[in-house]
Amino acid sequence: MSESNPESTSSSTDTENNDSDRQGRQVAKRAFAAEINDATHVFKQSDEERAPNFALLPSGEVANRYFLVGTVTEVNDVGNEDEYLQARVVDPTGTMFVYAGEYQPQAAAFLSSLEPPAYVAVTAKPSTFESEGETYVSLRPESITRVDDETRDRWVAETIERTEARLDAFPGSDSEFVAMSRKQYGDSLDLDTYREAVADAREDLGLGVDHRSDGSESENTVENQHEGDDATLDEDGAPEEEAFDESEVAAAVANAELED
Amino acid sequence: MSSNATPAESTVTVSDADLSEAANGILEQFPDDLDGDLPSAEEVASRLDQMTNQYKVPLDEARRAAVSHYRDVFGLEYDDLEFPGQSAGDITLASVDQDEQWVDVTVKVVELWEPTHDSIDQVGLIGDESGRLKFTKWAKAELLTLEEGRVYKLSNVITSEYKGRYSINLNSRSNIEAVDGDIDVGADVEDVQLSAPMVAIQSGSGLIKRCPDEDCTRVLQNGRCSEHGDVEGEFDLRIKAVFDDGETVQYAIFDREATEAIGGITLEEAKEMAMDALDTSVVEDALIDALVGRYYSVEGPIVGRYLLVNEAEQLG
Ligand SMILES: [Zn+2]
Repeated sequence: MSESNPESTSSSTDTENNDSDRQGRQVAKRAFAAEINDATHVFKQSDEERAPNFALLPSGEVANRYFLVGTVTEVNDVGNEDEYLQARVVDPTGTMFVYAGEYQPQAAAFLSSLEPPAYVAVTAKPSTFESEGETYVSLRPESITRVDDETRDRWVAETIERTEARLDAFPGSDSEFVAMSRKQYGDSLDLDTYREAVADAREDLGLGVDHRSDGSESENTVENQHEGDDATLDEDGAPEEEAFDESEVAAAVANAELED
Repeated sequence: MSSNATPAESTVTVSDADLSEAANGILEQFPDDLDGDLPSAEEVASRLDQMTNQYKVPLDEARRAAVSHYRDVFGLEYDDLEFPGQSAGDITLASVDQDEQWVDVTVKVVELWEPTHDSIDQVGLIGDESGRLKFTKWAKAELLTLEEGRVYKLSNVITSEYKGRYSINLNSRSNIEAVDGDIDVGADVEDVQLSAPMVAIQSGSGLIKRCPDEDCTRVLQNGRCSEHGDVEGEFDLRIKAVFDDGETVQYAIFDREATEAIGGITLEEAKEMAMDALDTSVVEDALIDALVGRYYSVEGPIVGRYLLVNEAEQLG
């Protein structure tokens, strides 16, 4: 990690030169479930074995980790022999799946004693797994703690801001990740989905759509898209989740551990 | 001395007083910790006398030649020498605005941190009325040990700049002199305030043990001080936190006072917790549960990689 970080070599008097753990820690990106679950393209930026994984957000940024706050609605043990906990974490736009097993002892202990529903804050690394031809995003917690509704609302407000900033920048951007998103997600890329997610989040907080910087336009956009997008928005629904082969899920997620 | 010189065609002679001053000036350029004895001032003066008054070499050139000669004798690089002429002299910390400038400062040691490398003897924060700066005292300098809370005159220390932030380095050319009295250390000019969630607490947080040697205070690893071996440590509280607003990462250190304030736990309570659990790590775990994932407003000086938390408040 430190190899790719310019900070690590630029000063002989820097006392933390040899601290590769702190060096170049990746920022935790903010994104809603609607977008996190669509960020199915996970890649490395270098050939190095220990190079970090990045998930490509459709809005044209990459995330090595997320910080998110949501409601745990359910915790299930999806492991075969060993305990492998799957937590459903819900935000105003959808449901994310957080998995914790023996390599996340703190998170696993936390989840096994948690009584849903509860607000949690999660710092997590994204990875993906395949099941019946579909790619799913799973989140591996680095930390998970119980928080209050004010923290949750603050996260929603912050994530609205970050998501809108990415969406606003997308059309005219020459960022490599915007180009990568266009290429990777191609026809399935529909940024209006995330505008709508933002609108849902605003509504959740009791904010009007006119809080947007270009409010008048967005109001129309949101109205127009609402009907067409219902199907994709409704990721929280039962069908896809029931399709999980639970042992396959556990194996895929467990393999992802080893990559890091 | 000039009496025994070859009769000069030139009438220019260099007085004994000037020779003696030049000789002392040369000696000051050499580090105190040479492998071998420095020549006496008389020896140097005699050498200068020979060059100037006997061989008609201008004093400046004689001085240069003498320095070069003694450098060879002691196997020193040019960079190992001090050049008092370049020193900015007594300055305040807030006025440091150049890289690699020799300065003298009178400061209070605000905080000592654990060195992260063997080549570093002591590292921490020094302050005067104008502000605070990080300092690094290199092991090979073999200087007096600095104590937290005490005032020192640090002479011939060199500034260093990294990403627009300055720090002070103490090397073998530097001098440390303890000074009586106290300094009311000013608020740092580089105090920053940030609002962000705490996304992690790093290991080495919570209830820690420091080396009891008052000149050391290093954090013990498995009961061992990297300097003093197995020691009976003294308990302390701290948090090494990571704040992340989604765009940048900021590391922060809460000292005992700041940890007690934000964690709602005193050192005594932390010790009791650890005693009950027969494990000090329960304190770190409790702090993680209580603090990580919440949003805070934190304020303090940024020193190196760390924001040293003076004020912290959870944002409701
Ligand atoms: Zn020690």
